[in-house]
Amino acid sequence: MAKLYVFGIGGTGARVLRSFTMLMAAGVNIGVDEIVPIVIDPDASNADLTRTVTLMNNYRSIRSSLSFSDSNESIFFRKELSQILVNYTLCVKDTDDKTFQQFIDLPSMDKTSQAMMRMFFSEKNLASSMNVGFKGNPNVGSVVLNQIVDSEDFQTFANNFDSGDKIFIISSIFGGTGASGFPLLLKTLRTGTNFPNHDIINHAEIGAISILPYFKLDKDEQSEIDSSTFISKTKSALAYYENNIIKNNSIDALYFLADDVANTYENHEGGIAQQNDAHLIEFLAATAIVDFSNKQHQNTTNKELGLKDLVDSVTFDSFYDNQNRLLYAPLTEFLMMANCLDHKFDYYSSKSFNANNDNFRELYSSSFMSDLRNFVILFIDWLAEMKNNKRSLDLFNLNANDKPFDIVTGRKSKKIISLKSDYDLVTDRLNTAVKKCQSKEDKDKFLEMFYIAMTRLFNEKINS
Amino acid sequence: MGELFGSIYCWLEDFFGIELANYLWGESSPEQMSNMYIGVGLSMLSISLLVCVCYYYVLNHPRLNTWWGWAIFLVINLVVNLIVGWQWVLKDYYAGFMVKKDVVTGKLVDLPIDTDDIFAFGVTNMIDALIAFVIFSCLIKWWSTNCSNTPF
Repeated sequence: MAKLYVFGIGGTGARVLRSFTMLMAAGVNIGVDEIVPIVIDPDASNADLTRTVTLMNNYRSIRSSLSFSDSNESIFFRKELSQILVNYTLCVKDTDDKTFQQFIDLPSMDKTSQAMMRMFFSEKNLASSMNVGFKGNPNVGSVVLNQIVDSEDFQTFANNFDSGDKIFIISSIFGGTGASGFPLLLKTLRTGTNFPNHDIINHAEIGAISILPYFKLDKDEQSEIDSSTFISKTKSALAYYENNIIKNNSIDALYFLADDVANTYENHEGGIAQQNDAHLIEFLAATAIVDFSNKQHQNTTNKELGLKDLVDSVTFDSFYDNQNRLLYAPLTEFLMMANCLDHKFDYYSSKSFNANNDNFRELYSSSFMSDLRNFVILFIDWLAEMKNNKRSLDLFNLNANDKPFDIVTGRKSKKIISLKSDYDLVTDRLNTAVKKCQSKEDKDKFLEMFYIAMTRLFNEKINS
Repeated sequence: MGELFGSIYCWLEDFFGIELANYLWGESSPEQMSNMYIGVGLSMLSISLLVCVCYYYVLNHPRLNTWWGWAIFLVINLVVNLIVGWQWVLKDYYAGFMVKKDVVTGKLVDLPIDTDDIFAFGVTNMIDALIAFVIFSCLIKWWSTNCSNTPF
């Protein structure tokens, strides 16, 4: 069973992993059975990271309750999400409670070396704490992250790696952690020899996405991060990637994402205050992982994603057919289930819902159900954040309330001949679906019931 | 079959009267000599089955998957069968079929049956329809997608 190791570097990496987890839950077609996320971010308290870790734990908790027999049709939560590191995080050694100059042991260097160091690193760089990442300074990150290979966590990753497994690296090109971490990690994976399975890893299929600036930060004199430098950093990094990654074919597929419409966020250097709303670019980056997992690449393939037209609000109509085929059905069907469990939970957990009577008596008070409900609420929040961000990803009407089929932005639901409508029709399809379920376990059966019913309703009412 | 239906209806013959019971057996009037219990009984069963099928399969509506949803259809069935049973016999009453030959004069005289007895027969038909509806519900509910757990 092939695995895909997804390295998420820095805050952007964590946010893309959040979107990717949502796509996994919805059952977007991923070409491997198991995903192993690994986060590289010295800023362990980064709220973007903790939110993603919580979400992935939630996913794993739900997935661990499901057995997915071969006859089970459901694609919701089908893919395995494995955790091989504590908090999915690859810890970089010796960064806790240290400044950068302590990390490089500047005071013990001779005067010539110290002078050399001060040429490369400003006083601010040297005095900066390692606790909150590299604050947009790739020169700092490139030194610190060079130690990854020495960490026990990296050895754990290497030990777990099998022939046929793939690797994908998510990083931003305009910050500190991602911009410096990606080339270093790639170099380690391609040329490193002092870790287990290095031969397999050196020759593994590796893809990466490099995210160009897609947001700005408020000007803040106190902050070391200045978003006006994003573009110049990006240009430098792109030139470096061109010469040191693309030209020497050290990567199989390299995806680029950029947008010229940028939202402005509050300027936080990291920590619990750094929690950006989900964004279209992160969503598209997650689809790049899906694309990589489904394809074989020879030599270095550079990829960009185009939309049909540049509009302020991106909808399903903005995507080309391939992207629509990948996303439209699973996301819509999952949202329909989410709406049932969010807006109509009282009904669906009651005896009035006929499917319950012979099947799910104990389920509604179980931890599985609270995990599932929590997840679907986070899914709806995630969609709402992207909808309200700039540029907006407006895939769904999130205020459909009692109109479960009027949920796709810009598309009207179809009329069918039936005595039932709206949620009565949903309930009817669920009651019909439960009789077709092949699963034995109630949790599997519950999700399979929703999958069969939502797929039928999607084809009857929504898919044109 | 006539014996079966007749004996079922005659569980309540004290309620609608022995004279009407005998008339329905086809034993007391020279104008009506067939067993009327067959027709009334078959129509009662047919109507009950039809209403039951409507509830469980034709409408089969998730909102009716409650005891009161089932009760609505039960009441519909009872009312229809009350009217059918009552009118079925009442038409004979108005047609003048409820007569017997006087043994002394040899003339046809009215049987001692009044409209209250006939209405009471309608009620009897309704009670039998209640039993039939419950039995049909228990038999056919299992394959209903939305209402298989009503009434119990």
